[in-house]
Amino acid sequence: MISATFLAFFAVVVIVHWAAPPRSRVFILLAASAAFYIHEQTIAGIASLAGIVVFGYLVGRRMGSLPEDRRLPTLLVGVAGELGMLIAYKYVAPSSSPLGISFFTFTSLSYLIDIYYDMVPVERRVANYALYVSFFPQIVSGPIARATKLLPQIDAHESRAFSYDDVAEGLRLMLWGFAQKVLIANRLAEITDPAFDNPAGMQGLMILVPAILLPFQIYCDFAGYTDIARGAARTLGIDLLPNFEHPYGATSPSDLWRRWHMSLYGWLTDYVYTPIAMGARGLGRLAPILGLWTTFLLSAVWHGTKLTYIAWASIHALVLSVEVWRRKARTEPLSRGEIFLRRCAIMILLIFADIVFRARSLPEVGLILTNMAHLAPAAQLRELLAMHGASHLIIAFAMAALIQIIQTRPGPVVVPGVRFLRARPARWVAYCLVFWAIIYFGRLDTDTFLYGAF
Amino acid sequence: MTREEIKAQLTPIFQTVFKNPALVVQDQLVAADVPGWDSLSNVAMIAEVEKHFKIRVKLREILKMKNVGDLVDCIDRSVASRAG
Amino acid sequence: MWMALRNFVLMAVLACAPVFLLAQLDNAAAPTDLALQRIVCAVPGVDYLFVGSSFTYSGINPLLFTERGLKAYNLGTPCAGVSYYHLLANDYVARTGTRPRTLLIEVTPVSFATGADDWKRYTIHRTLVEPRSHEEVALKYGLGTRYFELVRKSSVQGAQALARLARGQTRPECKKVLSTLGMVVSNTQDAPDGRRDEAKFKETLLDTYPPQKAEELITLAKSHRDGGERVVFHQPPIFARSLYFTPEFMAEYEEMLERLTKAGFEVIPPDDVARYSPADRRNGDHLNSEGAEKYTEYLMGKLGIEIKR
Repeated sequence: MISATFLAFFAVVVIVHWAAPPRSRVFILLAASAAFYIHEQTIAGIASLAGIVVFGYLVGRRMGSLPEDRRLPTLLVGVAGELGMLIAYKYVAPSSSPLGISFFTFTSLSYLIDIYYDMVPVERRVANYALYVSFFPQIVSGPIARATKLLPQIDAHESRAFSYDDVAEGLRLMLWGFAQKVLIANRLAEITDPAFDNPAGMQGLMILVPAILLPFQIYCDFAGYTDIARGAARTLGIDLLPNFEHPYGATSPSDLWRRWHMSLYGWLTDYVYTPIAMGARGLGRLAPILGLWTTFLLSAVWHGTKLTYIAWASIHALVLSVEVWRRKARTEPLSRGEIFLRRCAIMILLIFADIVFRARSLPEVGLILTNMAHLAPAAQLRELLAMHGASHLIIAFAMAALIQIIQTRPGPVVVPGVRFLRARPARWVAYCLVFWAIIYFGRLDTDTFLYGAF
Repeated sequence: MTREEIKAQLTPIFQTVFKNPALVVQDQLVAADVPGWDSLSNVAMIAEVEKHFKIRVKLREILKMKNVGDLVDCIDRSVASRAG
Repeated sequence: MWMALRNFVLMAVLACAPVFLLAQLDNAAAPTDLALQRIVCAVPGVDYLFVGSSFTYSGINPLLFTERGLKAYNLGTPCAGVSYYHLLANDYVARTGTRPRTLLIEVTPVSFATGADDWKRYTIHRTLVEPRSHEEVALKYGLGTRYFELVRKSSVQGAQALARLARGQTRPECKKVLSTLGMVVSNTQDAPDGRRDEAKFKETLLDTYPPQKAEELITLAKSHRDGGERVVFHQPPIFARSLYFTPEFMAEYEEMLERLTKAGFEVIPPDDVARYSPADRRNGDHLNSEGAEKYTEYLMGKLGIEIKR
């Protein structure tokens, strides 16, 4: 999506969409999504997406014609079919997986499960359902849509009034998304990639310094893409779920997971964690622990077949389990010192867990950690400076610090600085500056988008 | 049992489970407003509510609850159906 | 809605105007990119001028000619294909006002691959004595939306040029380039990762032979021969490359070589691949400085130059 072709395509879609008669909006968006997906996808991929749309639509109609207590068999067929396709691709033919399969499968499953629980009415209009699954801003890498949130918007879309503020906010989000991805994440990747693609030769600071930057690279990478997706949708009058709520400002592990990749973990919480934990509520404190282990292991499998994902998920599940087990009463709000220390602890957890997530195999994790212990600060610092240059390293840490400062801000998550610049000329200058920063200091050549492989 | 009575009985349960002695139960209350109330402690809260009111809440109903008001309505229905 | 569009267009013009303006400055002062410096710092009046791609810039050592009292210059440019060859060879003549006695043009199947002539990566058309506009290149070579990347790169170069001009640097920095006469000395061994090279060249299996590029090559050779130069084609060693083009492609390539011979141009046959061990290469297909010495001596032999031992 980071290409001039996409931007040109997007501009055309926006203009056509708002200029056309409102009744045709859903079809315009559907046509755009189809064009987007067909461009550079294999026949098998397109067929899989079309197939899951038709299948989900029919299963939904079938469930809708049955009373609530007779829907379970149909639901199981639907879930088995859709999940089965995802698993088949992931485990049997991962390199030929259709683009965004993990995302659109979960979006489709949300619809079936919500019908089962009678939380959303059956969608009779094929075009609307097809758009729900394949809406192009979200299909590549989410946010994962929920039927209760997106389908009503699509159904009411023809009466959505054009709003200047929506378009402005949408474009602002996209600009900030590009800045995060191209200016921050890709630049940080210049330091983290050499270390993590070739950890054998890296000792002490050579791998510790990139490891400290890794959580910021991962966040800006994914948050950037999310903002581009949400901004694009907003420009078209659709609100997609947010994925992040300043996660690195969290003060506890449970707080962290309420703020990270919210569309995925919200989905897992509602459809996996809640049934399991509630089902096991007789087990007292063990019930939520059972629920969260299942949830996290499933999220590991969602990410892929590597053992490192299982290890990564286990680390977080373990830390959360300890937190649940030891929950104490808290009568006063946390002091600033306590908040600071807790955030430091969370950051250490993230650095460690992200190393596991990023490593290419479990033995490599061991290698990285043992190498990291071989500290020879002076020599390694010199090597780092030789490899990346002092200015690059300083800028990288400055960007990470800036991101962290933003993360610690409370309140609704907005594009940074929006509140301060009220006057239109000031905003326009700011947009130009960000745009130029992206053009002149961004790294557009390579696209090391970690979440694009899911 | 009236809704007010239900809410009065819920208050000590909420205060204990969410470890928040100052909590007051109102219809509009949602988890986001209460520190200590999240999906992890929600399980314990439902278990305590069921034990106290001697009811069994279905998963379906739990998923549909949007705020404390819905919970109170659910308790109301379950108690009524148990009694009647 | 139309006001939103108007504001957006206004904003876009405001933001993009400086970018386009800076892009015009990009050939104001010498570039810092070695690939582009090579063009700007070209030595006039050489006996042997080498035009080619990455195989040339790391595979031909002009200093071996200097040892024999001859002048050579390495104009090998990364990602060069036939279109680049035109620009490079003609620019040398226009810039230095001299013609080389012998023009050596690298030719391999890769010269005709779709991936050759990567305008996006090296905006050499802006570094020429008679620079071509991006619009011209975009239209002539059908670049589509890569045009925007070209403008962006040029704009970055323009900003750098502005910074250099502000520092009073109006002459090119040629010391580094001239120390090796354009060659890139490379001795680092890339980790032998056959998978990485394989992935890169898998796309070339989809290539079909482009007859118009072959015509371009012959036109180029003829025009330089008409200018009084001796035009010689040479073929740097291919190791795994033949695996990545279809037999049809290779057959047409061989046919093109025959046409060159028939047109009266010297086509030096490729050296025996067995003479080059992995120690002579810096990765799957490119020679390092050891291999460059071997290959350059081979060429010199074929050109009739005595090799001192």
